Amino acid sequence: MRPKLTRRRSRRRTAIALVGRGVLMWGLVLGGLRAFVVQAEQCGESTPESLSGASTAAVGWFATNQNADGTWLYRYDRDVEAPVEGYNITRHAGVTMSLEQAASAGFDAADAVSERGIGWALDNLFDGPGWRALALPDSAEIGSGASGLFTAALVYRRERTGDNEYDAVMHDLGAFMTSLVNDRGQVLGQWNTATEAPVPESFSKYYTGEVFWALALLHRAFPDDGYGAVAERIAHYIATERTEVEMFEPDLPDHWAAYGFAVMTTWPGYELPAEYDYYVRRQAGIQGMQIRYESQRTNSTFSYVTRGRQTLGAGLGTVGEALSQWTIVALATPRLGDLVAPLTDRARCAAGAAIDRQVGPDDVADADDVDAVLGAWFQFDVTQMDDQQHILSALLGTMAILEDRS
Amino acid sequence: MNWIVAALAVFTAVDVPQRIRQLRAVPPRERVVVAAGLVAAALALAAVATPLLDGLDISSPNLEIGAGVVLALYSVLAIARWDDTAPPPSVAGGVAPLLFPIVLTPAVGVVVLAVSARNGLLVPVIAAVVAAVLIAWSGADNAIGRRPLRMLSGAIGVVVGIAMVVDGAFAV
Repeated sequence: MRPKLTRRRSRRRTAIALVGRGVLMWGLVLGGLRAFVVQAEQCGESTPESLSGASTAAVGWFATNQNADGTWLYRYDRDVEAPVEGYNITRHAGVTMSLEQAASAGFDAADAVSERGIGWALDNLFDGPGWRALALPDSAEIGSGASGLFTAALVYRRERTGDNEYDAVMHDLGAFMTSLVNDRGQVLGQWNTATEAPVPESFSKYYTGEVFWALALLHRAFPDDGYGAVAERIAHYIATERTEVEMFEPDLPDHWAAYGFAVMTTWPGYELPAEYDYYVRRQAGIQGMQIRYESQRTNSTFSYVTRGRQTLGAGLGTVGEALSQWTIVALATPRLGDLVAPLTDRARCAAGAAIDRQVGPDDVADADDVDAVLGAWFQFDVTQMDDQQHILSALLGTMAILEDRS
Repeated sequence: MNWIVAALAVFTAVDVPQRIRQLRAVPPRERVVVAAGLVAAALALAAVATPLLDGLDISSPNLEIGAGVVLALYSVLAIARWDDTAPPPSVAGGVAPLLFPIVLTPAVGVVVLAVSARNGLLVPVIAAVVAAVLIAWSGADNAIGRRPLRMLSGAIGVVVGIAMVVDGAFAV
């Protein structure tokens, strides 16, 4: 018969061996999860001060890099310290719009920079049958998106200054956009200058949302001129049909549509139809997923292998824009109230990540052209003006919702 | 996360049929210790879930994805395997190795953390209480501690795990 003490020790050793295996298993599972599934989300600090500082620097980049004719440095390669050829009129309109948002938010330096951008755009209006559109000279096809973003800029300017100098231009642009919207609410993306007709089936991923947003803003500025009904038609199409008709599965992440719906919630007496809730929730989820993933990227070797490289500034910016605009929609719609807190968190995360990734004074190397890099966002040592545009708008949107919630 | 999915996630993570089978020869007093320990652990994990995630810079939907992966993988193993051996004699009144590591597996811990962070304290704790009562009640041995029921629990766990991954991915 074994002594009692020995039996107890043996029992303890067996139990301890199992506990040891259990600890090892817990360590492997938790370690594996942390390493591959739930890496830390790097959301930085998005305080009112840091948001304002980053926005000021972005506005400064546009002021410093604006040409005499009102255009901006389009693309810059930090590696070879030289601009890259090219210009895009839709992005010109987008930058002008973003600067108007900044001026409206109290960044006074943006005003003069935007005015010069507006001046260039006014020199590039195409006269069509009963309308005008923003287009480069000799364009074979005129896209609707540029006119949408330019209209948004002009509406923001009108609301900010009370100046109605460009009302006629806005109505002409509105006529062009309205002519491209069919009864179903679909927006044709292109108008052909040779055939003098819209290009059939020329639906665009982004122009639909840009036109929708512009018309929603026009309705806010001119409530009696019929823009609201057209905007509502597009809204209904986007929220209930577009995903299937244009085959975007699970859905197209559309920050421009988010702007449009956010503006509609500012229309007096407007209530978002309940049938749009699914679309709003799905969009909020898709954008939330994007920033939860993107914020895990650090560009370290391990992060690069497991998460890929950090996205370009415009990519991060559009996510931040969408999150802040859907927050505005949720704030105005009691049924969607449960989205407010998580959307605000994600918008702050996008803004914080953007602030962390902006080139600050300490990031400028001796070999750098300070004017071209300070306040900008780079990927592969290249920045494009819409990197600054989208992140500036995202920062401003986040500032707006934080002010609204405080 | 839907509360039914949340409760099923905790319940299937505990793997009640297998645990009951493993504890069939354990004295009732030790089974009560194990059951009480399970509830206490669930309560503690649920209470620290949100501050823990904040400290680690993890959003609750991302942990839901991770917990869904763990639950689905664990449940696949649960479908395929069946442990009919009795555990070694316990120490500390059943705390080791009955409560830990036999009942408190990583799947239980991660799922309770994820469900608590997404749905609050109540659902995971109630699910843990139900599982604990079944584990403590020796009358359930023959009825529940059977392989077909473990396979059913595992199948539900796989479905719930996948649902958690999808829900976490599309959550804000």
